[in-house]
Amino acid sequence: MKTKYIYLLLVLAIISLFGCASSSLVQATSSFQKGHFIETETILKHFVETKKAKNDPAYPLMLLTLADSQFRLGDYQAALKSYDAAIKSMTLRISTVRTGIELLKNEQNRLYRGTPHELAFAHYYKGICYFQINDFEKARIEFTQARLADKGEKIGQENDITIIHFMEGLCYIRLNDFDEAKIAFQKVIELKPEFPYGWLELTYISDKLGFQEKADIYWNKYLAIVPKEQQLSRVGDSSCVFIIADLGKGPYKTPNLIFSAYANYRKGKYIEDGVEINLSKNKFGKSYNSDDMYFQAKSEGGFTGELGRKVVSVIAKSAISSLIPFSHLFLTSSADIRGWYTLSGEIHVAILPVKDDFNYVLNLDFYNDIKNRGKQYLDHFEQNWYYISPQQHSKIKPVYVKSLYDLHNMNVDHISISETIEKQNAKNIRQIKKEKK
Amino acid sequence: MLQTKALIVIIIAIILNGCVTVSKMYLKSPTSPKVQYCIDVIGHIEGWSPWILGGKCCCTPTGKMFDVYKKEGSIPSEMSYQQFLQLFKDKGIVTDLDYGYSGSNNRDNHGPHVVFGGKSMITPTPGTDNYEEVISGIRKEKSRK
Repeated sequence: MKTKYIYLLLVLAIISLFGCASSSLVQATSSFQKGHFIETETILKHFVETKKAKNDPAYPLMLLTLADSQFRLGDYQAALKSYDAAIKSMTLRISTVRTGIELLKNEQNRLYRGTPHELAFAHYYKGICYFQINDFEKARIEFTQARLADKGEKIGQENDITIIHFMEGLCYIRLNDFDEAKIAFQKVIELKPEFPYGWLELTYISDKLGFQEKADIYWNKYLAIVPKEQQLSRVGDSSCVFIIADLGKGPYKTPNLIFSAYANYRKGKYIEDGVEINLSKNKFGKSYNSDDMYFQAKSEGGFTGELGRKVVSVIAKSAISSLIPFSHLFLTSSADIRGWYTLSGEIHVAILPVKDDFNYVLNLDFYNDIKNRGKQYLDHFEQNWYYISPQQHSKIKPVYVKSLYDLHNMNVDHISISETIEKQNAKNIRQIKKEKK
Repeated sequence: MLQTKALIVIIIAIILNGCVTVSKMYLKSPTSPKVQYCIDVIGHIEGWSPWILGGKCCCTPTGKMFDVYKKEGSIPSEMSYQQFLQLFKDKGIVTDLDYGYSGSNNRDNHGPHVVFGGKSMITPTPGTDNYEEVISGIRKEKSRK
């Protein structure tokens, strides 16, 4: 009987030693998805400084989740530090011996090294932090690094995140380097011709550099995409509001059904397809999708490297299991389904003309858009942000929002509300899937 | 029999809990509360005197802003710009002049914002709770979970 208790205590001790770090990450991610950013930060802020967290293989993911919560709280200084630490730990060079040891470990217990799209977006958010605090040179460097980190599976799929080029172009404008800005925005229109703001910025640059004919072409392209009430004026430095909205949940990984040692990306489950933006009850229209995280994740490169590691790992494990009896019990090769699960599903952008000298209430109505059914506004996906001020176009800074069923707007009993809405959303997703079929 | 009664009570409790959850929710008003404090982002409101002198203007105390205050008569005419800045230093208040616009949203060691009793007069980040709370002067403790 006594031995039973000893075993039980031993198991509990092991769980508390090795399970705590991962459970903190799960808890923090769950809080983040519910919109409790302060709670997410509280769970991780001090924990990431402990030795236990630093030794945890999922340490970079903890830092990314912490950084995301600080970013959403508008604390760009703290977010910068956390993103920086996450990038450093994902790109850390490890010794040959450690690499060998890592190959023998179960995939889930290996040091998390991030994927190309995760690294690219970590640099992107870091770049946004610098942009918001007016450090455009550092922001530009981060956006450049984000571009370089974005490796594609096929030719043409690398360096293809539109928002990164767009923000890089805006940095170059602030740094008065119009030639480089032009290159960045040309990449934007090449990647996403239906995204109007690449055409808009090219018009302004061409006008400034005296290329009238080209400016006319770019301007007409912009006018063809954007409805009249949403169009900015061509002449002068017009007043506007710049919104970047992160929509939905990012992709997640599941083990491959045939080769269970590999993981496949699945599209995150969310129902919002877009956001309609109103400023103080004036209808303006929709935002424009710049990027889809699922596409970025699924088309990312680095597969050859992953395959190489898998082969080496399998050979090393077979060699050890032939030498040590029963070693297969601890040498498993399950798929690594860890990932940056606080990343959003899509990025949307809107630059809207407004009258100067007025503080607006920014109203965001998130909607679902099904071809046969049209635009369906989503219950509880409404956000109101007060005192949004117009900015001169040449000095625009984004108001960065996230499409949570806005718990910020609800001041009673957050947890139970979010659970109710989650159930409702799950039901909506099922219904929409049926209709799409 | 006792078990059946207990089961019924549990089921009723679960149903009631579900109903209460739904009825507790309401959305933020689409109309913003009145501006109580002005900051750089929304612009200076004419005639409002600087916070450090007991007023409601929390704009960054730049030289340009100092001239505006002087013009509006909200600071003593004999006070120099250096004396004005010294008032902030004496009280240990940090502004965007100290670090540039730091973007900490008043969450650093000097926070919260001066209007909530802290030592930070750094411009808050638009599109966040803290930004709205500073301008409206209303601290929504419950929403800060």
